[in-house]
Amino acid sequence: MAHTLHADGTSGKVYIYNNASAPSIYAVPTSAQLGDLNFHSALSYLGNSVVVEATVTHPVRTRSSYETKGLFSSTTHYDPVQGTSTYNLGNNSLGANAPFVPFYGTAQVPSGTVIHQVGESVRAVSIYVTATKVKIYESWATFDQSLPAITRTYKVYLFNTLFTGSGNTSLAITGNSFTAGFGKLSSSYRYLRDSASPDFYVTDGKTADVSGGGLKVVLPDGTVQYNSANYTGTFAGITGRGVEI
Amino acid sequence: MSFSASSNNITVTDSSGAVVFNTDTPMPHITNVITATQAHTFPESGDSSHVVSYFSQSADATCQVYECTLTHVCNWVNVCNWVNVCGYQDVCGYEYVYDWGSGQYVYTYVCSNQYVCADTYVCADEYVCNWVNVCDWINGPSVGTISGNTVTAKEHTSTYTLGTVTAGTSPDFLLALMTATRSTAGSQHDMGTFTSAIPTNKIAANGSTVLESAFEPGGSSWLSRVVSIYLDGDSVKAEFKHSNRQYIGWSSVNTVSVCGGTYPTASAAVSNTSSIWSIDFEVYVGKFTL
Repeated sequence: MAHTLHADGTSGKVYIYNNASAPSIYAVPTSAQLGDLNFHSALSYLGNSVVVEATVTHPVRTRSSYETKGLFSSTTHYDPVQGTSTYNLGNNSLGANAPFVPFYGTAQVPSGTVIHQVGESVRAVSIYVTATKVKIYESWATFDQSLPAITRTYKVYLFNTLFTGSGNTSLAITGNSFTAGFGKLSSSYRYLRDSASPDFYVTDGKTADVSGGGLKVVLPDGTVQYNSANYTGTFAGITGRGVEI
Repeated sequence: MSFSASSNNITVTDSSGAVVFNTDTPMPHITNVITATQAHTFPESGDSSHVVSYFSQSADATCQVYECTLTHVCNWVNVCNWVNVCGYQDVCGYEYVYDWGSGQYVYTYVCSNQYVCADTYVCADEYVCNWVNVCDWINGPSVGTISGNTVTAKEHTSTYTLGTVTAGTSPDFLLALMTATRSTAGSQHDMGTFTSAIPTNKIAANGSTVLESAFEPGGSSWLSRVVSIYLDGDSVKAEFKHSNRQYIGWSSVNTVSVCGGTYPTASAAVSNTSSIWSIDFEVYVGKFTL
């Protein structure tokens, strides 16, 4: 087995594949050939990765309570209170359509996850993107307990979609740069790459299940991140593939 | 920057020496981008109200009654009375007595034993018992009605196909974005709208996303809803899954207490657990070099 780098002088196509077959058979790859290709200028990639990391202090959320007094005693009553807030995590230079992988603390947990709970009072968050910003959305609800202020660190990997080639450079190698496939493969970018020491995991499966009113979360790395006491299902999750950038 | 092709390996590094591309650590590409909008209604779980009537003998300070009780009361009492006391006693006095010797009346002190009666005031301690009425204001019994609501346990799953990839592609992963709108928000009668941290902006929907949650006193979740994006053969699917266990909410109890009257009516608010979502999905289908 050999790896082959081929640049077509006519079409400008550049591809790298993991065998010694004639380059022509990969000029227009079939679905069955996709697994052979390390790179092909006709394919789409996620690159130019950007990492945004920020620490947010979520403020105290005070419960609402009042007392009624009888002749011999008093009773405390609680009113449910709900609210939302948003916080900036950083700038988004890749636009609103950039796919991304969010980390809540050190865990690659699902969007909408409850990150803070005291009794029946909860605080849940989702990271979202706008055309220019990476933000976090907090939804909180208090009842019998107040939620004290907490500080959490969030990390987001955003990816540029390199779907369309630009310029007319098929392959260029200089002392300072390498570009191929009309800009799709560039030494200026950072790409997802298979890794034994991954930054995060990608998966094609579910990462959470509900049953018996409870929730179980199995992260893409196979870790059981949350399993509520009343969860009654058998969800085991699947371990995804570790990648780095 | 460096480019090397050596020993069956091609590597590109950037200006700082960090690896950008290496055939030994394959770089995935995107085979498809699938966009789809999917609406879903999480159905009502169903609920029923409780109405419990009660009689309470316990202290109800707002429901006092004046009550008398016939009570046997005993006490030591000093009892005094006028008493006619009779008895023999010497009765003495001066009187003229004829003296046959002298033939004269002699003024003489004379005593004689006589049966005598007289009214006398006599006192003595006695233990006296009587039946008396003891009356006071007391906390009276009450009747009332408590009502609450029970949400019926329910499991629900709906799966939709968002799109398909070319047969034989065998993708390795999905990176998904979604923009969701909850046009109708489910709620529980005592706590209000189910907690949801899904904004109307674009969020990551890789794997599963927690759409809604609800919690019991003490913190256990009793309702959870997720949407999961996953690959099933050549199909990219979205699974909406709901689960709730039975939830009894007494905190919206409607209690009425009346003094000894008829049981009052009471009703509790119901829970409208159905939520309606519409989600725009954008799924990037990825594949690694084998």
